[in-house]
Amino acid sequence: MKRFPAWSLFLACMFAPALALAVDLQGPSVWIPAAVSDRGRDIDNLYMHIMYIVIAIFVITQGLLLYSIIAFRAKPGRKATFTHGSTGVEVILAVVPAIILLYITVASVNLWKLVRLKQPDDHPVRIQVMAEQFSWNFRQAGPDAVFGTPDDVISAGEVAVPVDRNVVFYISSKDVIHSFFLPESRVKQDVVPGLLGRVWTKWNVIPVWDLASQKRVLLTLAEYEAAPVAVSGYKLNSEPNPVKKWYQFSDSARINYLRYHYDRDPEAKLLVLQNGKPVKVPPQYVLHYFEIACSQLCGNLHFAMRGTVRVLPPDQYEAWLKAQQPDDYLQSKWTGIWDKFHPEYDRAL
Amino acid sequence: MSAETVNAVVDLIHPEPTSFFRKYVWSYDHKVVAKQYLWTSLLFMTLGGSLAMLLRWQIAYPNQPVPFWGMLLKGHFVFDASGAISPDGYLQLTTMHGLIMVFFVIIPLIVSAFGNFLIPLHIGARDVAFPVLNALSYWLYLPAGLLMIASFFMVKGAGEAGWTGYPPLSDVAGAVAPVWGMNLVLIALFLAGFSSILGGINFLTTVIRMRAPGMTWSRLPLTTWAQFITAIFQVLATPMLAAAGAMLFFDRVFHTSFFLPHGLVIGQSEPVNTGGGYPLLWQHIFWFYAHPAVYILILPSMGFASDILAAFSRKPVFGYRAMVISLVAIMGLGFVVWGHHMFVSGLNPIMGMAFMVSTVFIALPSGVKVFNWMGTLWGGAIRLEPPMLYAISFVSMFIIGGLSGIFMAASPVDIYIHDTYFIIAHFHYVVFGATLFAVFAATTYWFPKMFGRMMNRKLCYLHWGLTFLFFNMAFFPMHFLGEAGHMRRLMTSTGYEFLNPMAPWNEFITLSAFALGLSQIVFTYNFIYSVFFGDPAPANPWESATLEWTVPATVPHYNFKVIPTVYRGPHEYSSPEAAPADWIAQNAPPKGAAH
Repeated sequence: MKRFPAWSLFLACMFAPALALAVDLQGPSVWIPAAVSDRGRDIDNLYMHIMYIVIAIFVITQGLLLYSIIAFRAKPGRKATFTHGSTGVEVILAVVPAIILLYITVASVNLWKLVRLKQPDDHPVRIQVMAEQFSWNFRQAGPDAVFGTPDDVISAGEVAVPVDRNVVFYISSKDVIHSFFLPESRVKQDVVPGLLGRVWTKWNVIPVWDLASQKRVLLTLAEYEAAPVAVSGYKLNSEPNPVKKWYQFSDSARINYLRYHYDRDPEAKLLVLQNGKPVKVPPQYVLHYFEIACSQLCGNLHFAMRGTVRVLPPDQYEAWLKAQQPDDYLQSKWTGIWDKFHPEYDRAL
Repeated sequence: MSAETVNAVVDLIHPEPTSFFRKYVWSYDHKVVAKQYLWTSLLFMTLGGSLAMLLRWQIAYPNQPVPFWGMLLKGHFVFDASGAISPDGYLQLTTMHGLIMVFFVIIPLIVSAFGNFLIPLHIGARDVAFPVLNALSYWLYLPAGLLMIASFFMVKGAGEAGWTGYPPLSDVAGAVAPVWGMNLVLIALFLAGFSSILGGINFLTTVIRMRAPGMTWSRLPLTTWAQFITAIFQVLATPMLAAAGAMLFFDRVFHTSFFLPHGLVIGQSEPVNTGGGYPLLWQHIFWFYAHPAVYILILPSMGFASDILAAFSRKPVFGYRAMVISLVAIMGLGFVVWGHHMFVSGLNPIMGMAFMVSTVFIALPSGVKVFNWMGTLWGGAIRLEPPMLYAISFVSMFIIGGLSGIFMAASPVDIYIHDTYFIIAHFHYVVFGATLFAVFAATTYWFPKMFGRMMNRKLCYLHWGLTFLFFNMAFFPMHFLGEAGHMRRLMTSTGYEFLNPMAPWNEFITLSAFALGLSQIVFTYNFIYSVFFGDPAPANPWESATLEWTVPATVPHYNFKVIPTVYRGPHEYSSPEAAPADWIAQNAPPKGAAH
């Protein structure tokens, strides 16, 4: 029994990070970000199912290991059981995991079909994405619904999509392999030069910034319409976070740990919308965005290849499309590279 | 016994050398080649580990000058003018850390060093089948390693396209900075691959042709079984790496276009040699090699653990036959799962589905092994000597690494966690947590046989405790970063709003990693001190039953004066036949039989 305290102390240390995480759940936490699409929630669901199975196996196996070490320690007079194994036990220990794995396989295959094989056909919004070192280019077909015409809506670094509608991204790269990663939508697809990839998702929440708590919140379309939301006139600022985590050793400035907040931008005109109409009340929220990340190594500035998606109500989405100014330089990238790169049938998509 | 008399009484493969050069440099002796591999790969481990420390510094303290080294090497190698890590430098660190650890540390260490030393001793042979080839494989490996180091001295530094080297990034001039750095890396991999293939052929032939009388396939120690299966992987898969490397080298130097599609534009300019190639071709060829390579990195460790767990539980391995069948199953399935590295690569989703099914089911043989290790412990008389402690930690860490693998096998979940820290956590739990703990187990277990001396027990326990603790503190939180979406290979993640809250965790991980790195000084000191000044070891300090323990503590050049005859399996501990002792050597004649 003398060894028990040492062992338990050791185990406590081993799982200290997990314990720390549990404590950390209060603040801006390190945890799976809330899913913003149905398919995203399906993936989280499968993830959690696997998690429960894995935790059970983890606890049982590590527990038995620890028990064996303690219970079967060599002592004077103690003899090991002489056995070469048991076919019965082997069969059980192969069949039970096989059943569990079969369950995971069936669940995964079904979800994989939904996520990757059943492209939505309910007139989705179609967006072409051209990745390059180190930025994202977007092209939408515009009013005539045909790509490669002068009314195309072209943007770089930021794209807008309507809420509650399927969006299909046609993705390709002009130089190296990138990866189109929408963390909250659980979408990730490598962007390969010479290949036209397709991914789709449907955002069913609008990201806004709550000015009272200075935190990002997600609103459904109805909630969004009901609240006064500033669509311009505010600026996102950041400074080193004054609150130090208990497991944080250095100053926030040194590790670049930031606190974000929206402040009134005196140079920009304030526009607050409620029920789709301008109102003269102080806003409760500021319109925010989701981030697009590159998750495949694409060169020295890979870490800076960030983009944003604005998820908007239908009317604001139309307004956003109209507000994009034609840009000859961006246009030349599409006509000069993408349209040459891809054959006719790819370009039409 | 002098060399002449020995030559007279035993049938030697090659005479005992007398000159320094033939004894320690161009040596045909499998034990010397093994030690050459051991020392060289341990040196490379120091280098690979230091690269990891530097890159962890950058992740925790973005763009802060590196203490000491940054001041010293300002503006050189991976450092920028202020002494911080430059963006290109960071990618060189990640790339070279990965390549060095996989190809110049783990594979040479567990396959070449321990395989060379143990296979002939385990099967009762005087050397490997092709001693000259064996020397050659080391002398291909060493220059390959030196080329890797040399690449740091090239203009604009070493390779920086990630250890997977996906084209077009690794292929086209201008996509990344280094030119000859990357070319040298490819030549080095080509040479290291050949060294690996030669070693594999050698081991296969040795195990098939040179087993002592009575050493049937069902009496082979599991270490040797694992090395045998690993050798099959090496011989069948490594040529693919050589082929891929050659194609990429041709693309880079001779402007062929294996991997470059038509119409590529890098920045503003169109490279001269694009057209007709296919970037995914590289990924298929690379992973067709590199997935089996993942098993090359773990199977020998499974072998070490099996033999060591049996020896210190004083019990036969639970389910020897199931252990062997699962090794063979891993080999078979190991060749048809490479696509799970490519679920989000642009692979046809239907292919992805097929790869998902094969991948999920490769967990079965690994599971069987884990249960059998636990069955081996169960009901034993466990001696918690340092090798045993390391071996149990191997099992424990392998369970974590294996379980986290299930998330990736489920392809819809992999969409989200692919290329995140979850993956980094997973393979470090397998390659560091499992394989390196098995290496520590094997080193402490076979050290008396290799060097004729014992390692210091207390320092082993200290090193085990520190490593186990700091390893988990460094790598367990990475699971959480990964599930929060933290991508790999970011020199700083703080620019993303959704990743910025992880900055304190990245600092925590970095400090734990530093502590983990410093803990290895204990082992290094213990190892080097014990090689020269350790207590002299008895011939069989652990009362083990396999053949290597039947030869004297300092193994003679010819290994076995008389080739032993084997009468029983490798782990007959606590057998009634052995009573009153709890072990009986494989070559001890059965009672009543004529000697």
